[in-house]
Amino acid sequence: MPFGLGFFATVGASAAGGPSFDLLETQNLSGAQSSITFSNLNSNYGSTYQHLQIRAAACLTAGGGIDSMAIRFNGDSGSNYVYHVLQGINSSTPSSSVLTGQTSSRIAFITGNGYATGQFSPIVIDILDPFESGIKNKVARGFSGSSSNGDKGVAIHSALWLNTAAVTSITLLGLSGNIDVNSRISLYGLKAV
Amino acid sequence: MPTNTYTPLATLTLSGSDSSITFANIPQTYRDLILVSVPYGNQTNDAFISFNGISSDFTGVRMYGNASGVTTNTYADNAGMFLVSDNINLNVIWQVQDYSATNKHKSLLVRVNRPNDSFVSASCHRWNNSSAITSITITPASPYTFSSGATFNLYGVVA
Repeated sequence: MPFGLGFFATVGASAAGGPSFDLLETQNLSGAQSSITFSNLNSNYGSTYQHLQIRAAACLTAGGGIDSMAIRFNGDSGSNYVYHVLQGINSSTPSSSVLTGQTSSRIAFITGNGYATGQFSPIVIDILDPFESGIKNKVARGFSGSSSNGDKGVAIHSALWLNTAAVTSITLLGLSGNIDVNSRISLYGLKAV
Repeated sequence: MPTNTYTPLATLTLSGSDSSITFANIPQTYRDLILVSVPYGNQTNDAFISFNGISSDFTGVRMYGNASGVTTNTYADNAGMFLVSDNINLNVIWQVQDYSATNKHKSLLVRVNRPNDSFVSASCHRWNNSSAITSITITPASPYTFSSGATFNLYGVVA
């Protein structure tokens, strides 16, 4: 090799092009629930999609102006999760924290007690390479915030599931209350070539 | 059945200076809006937002870092949601959740990368209004303008 080209890809060399971002499922909550789950993911989508994205406008039934949403994979409630957050709350200096050995991983800020006043948090979660198995632990990232009448905060989360299995289900749960009525949580798939 | 989405709705590419830009008649057939922009202008400053011609009833919080350190600010108006730069090397990306719903306030996530002056931010905002968003106007702080080369790409996402 005359030049140190390193990793090289020719765009269009394979079956590039075409739609790549698809809505897979949506849950519009008609009542409060302690959690929501997207199931049968690997069997339904594993051969078609490389990454997943969750987009939500959601709030909890309880908690203060800012609460947390957590994520679990494949129904695993063992102490197999690590999370890291970079957060800015009200006018405080941004801070970060990390917790290991968790039974779920915090993945987003979410407004508590928001339904009555129409205050729902914007949440975007990316799950990278969820259907690869035996190689990588699973990593998700969250971008979210709460601009409620109470406390205000914005956060960037990392969630690590210490397991290399393909993802078959994703569960989202509120830490201090149920996910409230009218919350909307959608799952999208992103293709790769 | 999967449904393809992240659909381009409109693009604005400025060929001269403009005191504001507007996306009007936004279709109500999507759930989220994503705005990807290079808001190049003749001054590095704030820009202000109105939805449906209304510029009031906004709140927000922004976490940012630059060469001087890191800070979080809160807002009781439509400040902190958008920035203009006199250096074209920047981007501002908005995500507006449930913009077409009428049972909740409109919530936004915003990311700004402005490497020319080492500025990066993440913010969350809420428009205290349950109306569906039909138009978006972005206005640089007076008397500044957007400049030729500024681009704004609007996408719709179904749910």
